[in-house]
Amino acid sequence: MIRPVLLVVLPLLIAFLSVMFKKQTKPLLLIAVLINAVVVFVIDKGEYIIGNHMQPYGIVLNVDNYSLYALIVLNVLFALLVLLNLAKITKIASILMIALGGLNGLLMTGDLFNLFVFLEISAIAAFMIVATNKKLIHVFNYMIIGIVGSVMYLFGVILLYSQYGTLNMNKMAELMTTTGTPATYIPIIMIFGGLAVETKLLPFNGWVKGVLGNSDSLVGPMIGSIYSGVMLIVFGRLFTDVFVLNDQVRILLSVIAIVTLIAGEVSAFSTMKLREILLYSSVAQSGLAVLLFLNGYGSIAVLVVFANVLAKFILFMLAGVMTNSHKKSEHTEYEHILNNTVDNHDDISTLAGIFVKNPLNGVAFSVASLSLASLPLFFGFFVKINVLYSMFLRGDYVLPAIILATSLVEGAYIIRMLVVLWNPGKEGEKATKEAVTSLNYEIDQLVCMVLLLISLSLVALGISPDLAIDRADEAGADLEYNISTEYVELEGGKE
Amino acid sequence: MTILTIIIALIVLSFATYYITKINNQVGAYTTVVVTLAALVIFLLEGDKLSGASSIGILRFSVTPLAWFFSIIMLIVYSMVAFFNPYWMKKILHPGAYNMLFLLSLAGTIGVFFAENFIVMFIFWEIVVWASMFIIPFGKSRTASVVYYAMSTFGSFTFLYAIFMLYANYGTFVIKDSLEAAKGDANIAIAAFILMLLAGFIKLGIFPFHIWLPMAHGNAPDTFSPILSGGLVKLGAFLTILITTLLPIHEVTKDQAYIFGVPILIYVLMIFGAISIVVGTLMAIKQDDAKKLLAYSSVANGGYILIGILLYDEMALSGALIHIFGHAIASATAFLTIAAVSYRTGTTKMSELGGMIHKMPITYVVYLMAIISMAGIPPMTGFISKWLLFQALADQGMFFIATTMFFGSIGSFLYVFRPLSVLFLGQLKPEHKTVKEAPIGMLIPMVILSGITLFYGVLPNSLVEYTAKIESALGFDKVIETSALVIQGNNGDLHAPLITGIFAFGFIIALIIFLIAPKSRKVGLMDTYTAGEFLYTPSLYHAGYAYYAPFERLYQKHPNIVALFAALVQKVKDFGKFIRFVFFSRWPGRGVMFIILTMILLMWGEKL
Amino acid sequence: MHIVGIVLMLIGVYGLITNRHIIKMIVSINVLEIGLNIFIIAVGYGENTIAPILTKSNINATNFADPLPQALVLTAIVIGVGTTAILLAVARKLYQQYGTYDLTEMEGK
Repeated sequence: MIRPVLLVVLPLLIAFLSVMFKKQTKPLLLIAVLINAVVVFVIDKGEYIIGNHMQPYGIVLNVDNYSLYALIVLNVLFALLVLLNLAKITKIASILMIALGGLNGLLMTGDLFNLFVFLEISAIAAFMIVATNKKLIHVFNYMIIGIVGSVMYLFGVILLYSQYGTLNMNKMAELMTTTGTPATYIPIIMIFGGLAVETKLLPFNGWVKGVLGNSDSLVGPMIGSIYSGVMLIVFGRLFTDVFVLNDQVRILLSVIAIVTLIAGEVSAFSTMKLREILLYSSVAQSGLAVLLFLNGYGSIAVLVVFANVLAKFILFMLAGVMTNSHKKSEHTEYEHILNNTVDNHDDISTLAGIFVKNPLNGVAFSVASLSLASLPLFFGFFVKINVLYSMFLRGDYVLPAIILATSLVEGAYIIRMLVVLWNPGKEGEKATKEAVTSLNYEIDQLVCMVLLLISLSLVALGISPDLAIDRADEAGADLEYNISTEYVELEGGKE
Repeated sequence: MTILTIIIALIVLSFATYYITKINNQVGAYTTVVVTLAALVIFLLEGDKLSGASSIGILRFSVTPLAWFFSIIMLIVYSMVAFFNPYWMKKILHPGAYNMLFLLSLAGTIGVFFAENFIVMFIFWEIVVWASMFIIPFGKSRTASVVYYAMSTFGSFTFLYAIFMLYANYGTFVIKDSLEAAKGDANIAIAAFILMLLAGFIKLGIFPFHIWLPMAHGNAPDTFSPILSGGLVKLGAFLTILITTLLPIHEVTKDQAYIFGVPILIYVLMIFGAISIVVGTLMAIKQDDAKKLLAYSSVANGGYILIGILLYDEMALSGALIHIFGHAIASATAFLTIAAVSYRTGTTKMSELGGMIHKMPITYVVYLMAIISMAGIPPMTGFISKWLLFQALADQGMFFIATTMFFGSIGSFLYVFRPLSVLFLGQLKPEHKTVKEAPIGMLIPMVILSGITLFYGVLPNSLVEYTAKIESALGFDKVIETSALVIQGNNGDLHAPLITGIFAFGFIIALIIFLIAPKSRKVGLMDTYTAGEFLYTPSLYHAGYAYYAPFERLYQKHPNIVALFAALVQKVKDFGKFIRFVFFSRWPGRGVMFIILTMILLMWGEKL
Repeated sequence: MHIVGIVLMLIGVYGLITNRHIIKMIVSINVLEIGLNIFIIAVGYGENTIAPILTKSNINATNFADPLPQALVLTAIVIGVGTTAILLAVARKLYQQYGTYDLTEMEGK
C-alpha cells in the first residue's frame, strides 16, 4: 500500500534537509538510500494520479512490470554504490540524493514534460557528480552537450503537444495508434536526439570519453552503469510504448544505432587504456540496446541492459580503484589528495600482472569481463544467444552477422585486457613473479566482498538464467512494440 | 553412469582442485592426475554402458561410438600429461588456476563429444576455448592467447550463425535431425556446411587459419602444449566428421561437377588440406624451437586428417580416425619428451642443446618411437593410417593430392629427424654434464604412450574394427573389412603382424651384427672436435646450425600469411583511432556541430 | 512568432559551434534556451487569443491562449537559470585553474 511517489519524494526531502543539517549528512544519506532500497520491493503497481488533476494538466505515475524491475535494480545498485564509497560521499551527499530522486522519477513518470524535468534534474546532478573528479574541461563539455540535448528534447515535446494536444504518455500512445501516422516525424527525431545524448549514441557522445575516461570509483559506476541503464530503459519506454514509428524512420534510427555499435567496438579495440576500453564498450552496448528496442526486441533489450549494468558496475568500480594505484615506495593515496596530484596509471601494460597481487578482485573483474564477452557459464552468454535466437526466428539474417562481427572484436579486446592484467612479462618470456608490476592499490575489504558477490550472481545467472529471463519477459510484455518473446529455454525439455 | 554426472563431477572437481592447490601445490597437481585417470578408467570399463539418459533442461547428451572413440583419445592424452603437472607447479605463476582450467577444459571436451544438440555443443566448445585460452599466457607469450581466442571465436561465430540458420529453417537444434533435414535444400545445406566447416578448419589448423597453432602451441606452458596439439585440435576433426557424414555433404553436392570422383566443392576443400600439408611441412623444416616445429607438424597432420574425412570413403574415414588416434598419441609423446628435456635443461631451443642421449636414454627411445609413428614407418600406428589413406586416395585416382601427401610424408622425415639428431645425438654441451634422466613420474606416462603406439602398430585390428563400428553408426553403407590379423583394402591387404615380424627380424640381425662386431673406443668429444683450434663463434659449429640450409634456401623467400592477418588487425585499429580522433574530442563546439549535422541529416532522410 | 524562436535557437547553436570563449558559449546557451521558450509560447498562442486568466470581464470568453505551454516555459526558465549558474561556477573555476577563458589555450588531459 505504499505509494511509489515516496521513492522520489523521500530523497528530495532528505537532500534539502541535509543542506540545513550539514553535520548529519552522512547518516541522512544512508537512511534515505536504505529506505529507498527496501521500499522499492513493496510498492504496488498501477497508475497513480498526482494531485487529482486530470491529464494533461496533471501528472501520472506509471508503475508496471517494466518500470518496477528497473526501479528495483536502480535502487539496490545505488544503495550499494553509496555504501561502497562512504569516504567520498560527504561532500556531494545532497547531490546524490537529488540524483536518486531524479532517476526514480524518470523511470516512473507517465508524462512527457515531467520526463523532461526529471531528465534535467538527473543531468544536473550528474554534472555535479562528475565535477568531483576535478577535470573541469570535460565537465564543461558534458554540460554543454547535455544542455543542447535537453533543448532538443523539449523542442520535440512541444511539437508533439501542438500536434496531439496532450502530454500524457498513455494518451499519446492511444492517439498515435488511432489517428494514424503523424504528418511529420521531426518531433520524434528531435526527442531521439535529446535522448541520444544521454544514451551515448554516436555522434552525440563527444562527452563520454572525457567524463568516463577520468572517472574514479564513484563517478565511473554511477555514470557508466546506473545512469546508462536508466537512460536506456527510458528510451525503451518512449520508443516502444509511446511512439509509433514507421519503417523508414525505424531504419534511419537503427542505422545510427548500428554505427554506434561498430564505432564503439572498433574504438575500444584501438586503445590500450583501461577506462577507455570500458567506456567505448559501454557506448557499443548502448548502441546494441537501442537497436534492439527500435526493432521490436524489447524483452531481449531489457536483458542486454541488465547484463551490461551489472558487469559495468563491477568493471568501472575496479577500474577506478586500479587506475589510482601507486608504487609502494612512493607516496600513499592520501598524500596525493593533499598535494592535489593524482597519478593516473591508465595504460594496461603498466598495470600488468596486478591481479597476481589481488586475486579476489581479479576474479570479480574477470567474471564481469567474461560475461561482457558472452562466454558460457556467464550471464552474458545467454543474453547473446537469445538476441541471435529472436533475430533468426524473425528471419533477420543481416543483423546477426553484424552483431557477431562486433562481438568478435569485443571479445578480442576484452581478452587482451584480461590476459595482460593477469600475466605480466614481455613477449617471448615466461610470465614470472618478477615481472609483476610494482604498482598496487588499497581497496576496502567490504568493496572486495560486494563485488565478488555481484560477480557470483553473474555466474549463477549464467548457469540458470530463468529468473532473469522470466522477469525480462514480463517487463517486455508491457511494451507495445515488442514482437519477439521466445527464448532458448533451459528448463522444460524441448530445445 | 551418465555423461551428465561425469561432466558435472569434473566441473565441481576442477573448482575443488583450485582450492586444494591453494593449500598445497603438489597435492593439487596429483589430484588432477587422479581425476583424469579415474575418468579414463570409468570410460574404459563402462564402454557401452555409458548413457546419456539424465539431462538438465537443454543439456542433453547422446552416446555414439564416435564420441566414445574421441573421448578415449582425449582421456589418454590428458591423464598421461597430468603426470607431468606436479613437476611444473613451481614454474607457473598461477598454479591453482592452471589445475582448475586443466580439468575444466577436459570437462568441456567431453561435453562437446557427447552433445545431443548444437546449443550444448556450442556451450562446451566455448568452455574449452576460454579454459585453454587462459592457460596459454602462463607460458611465453601474451598475444598468442589473444590470437588464439580471436581466430577460434571467428570459427565459433560462423558455427553459431549456421546453427541458428538451421534452426530458423528446420525448427530443431538436435544435431542428427537438423543436419538430416537440411538435405532438402541444397543452398542452405552448403551454406551451413561451409560455415560450420570454418569452425572445424580453424580448430584443426588448416591453411590459411593455421597461424595460431605455432604461436599458441609453441608458447604455451610445456605441459599444456601436448594437450593443445594432441587433444584440442581434434575437436575440429570431430566437428568436420559430424557435418561431413551426417549431412551428408556428398549427397547434397551430387549435382555439382565432379573432379576425380568427388564434387568440386569437396575437392576445393581438400586442396586446402593439401596446402596445409605442404605449408606445415616446409615451415617445420625451418624451425629452431622444438615446440614450434612440432606445432607445424600438427598443421601438416591436420591436413591429412581433413583429406581423409572429406573423401567420404570407408577406407579414408577409417584412415583418418586411426590417424587422429595415432597423431594424438605420437604428438603428445613428442611434446612430452621435449617437456622432459626442458625440465632438466631449461630450454627448448635446439641450437642450445645436444647430446641428450648420453644423459636421458629412455627419453631418447620414447622420442624415437614417437617420430617413427609420425613419419608413418612400420611397426607403429602411424603406418597403418598412412597406408589406409594412401589406399583410398590411389583408389579414387586423385594423384595431385596423393603427391602432396607423399611429399608431406617424406618431408616429415626431415623435420622429425632434426630434433633427434640435434637434440639427442650430437655433442653434449659442458653445462649439461650434470643433467639427469627425467624423473620416474615423467617416464611412466611416456613409456605407456610409446607402448600404445607400438601395440596398435603391431596389432591394429581392434582399432580398425572399432572404426568400422563408428562408420556403420554414422550411416555408411560399406565399412572397412578386417579379418583376424589382416586389413583388407581395395588394392591389397595389410598384414600388420607380418610386417612387424619382418621388421623385427631385420632388427635382430642388425643387433647380432652389432654385438659380434668389435667395440668402438670412446674418446672425449671436446678433445678431438676442435683439433687444437680456437673457436671464435662456437654457435656456428653446433650440429643444428643451418641444418637443412640447402633445402631451406629453395623456399627462402616465401610469402607470409601472418602479415595478412596482422595488416587486417592494424586496419581495424587505425579505423578505431580515426573514430576516436574525430568524434570523441573535448571541444564542446565539435560535439554540438556533430549533433546538428546529424539532426539535419535525419530530418532530411525522413522527408525523403 | 514561431520563426523568431527558431531563428534565436539557430543563433544560439551557431554561437556554440564557433566560439572558443567560455563566457560567450554560456551566453549562446542562454540564447538557445530563450529561443526555445519563445517557440513554446508561440505554440500556445493562436490568432486573437487573450491571456488565460479568468476575470469578471471575460468569464464567458472562449478564446483563451493555451495555458499549458506557459507553465512549461516557467519550468524551463528556472531550469535554464540553474544550468547557467552551474556553468558560470565551472567557468570561474576553470579561470582559476588555467588563467584564461579561451578553450583552446587550456591544456587538457
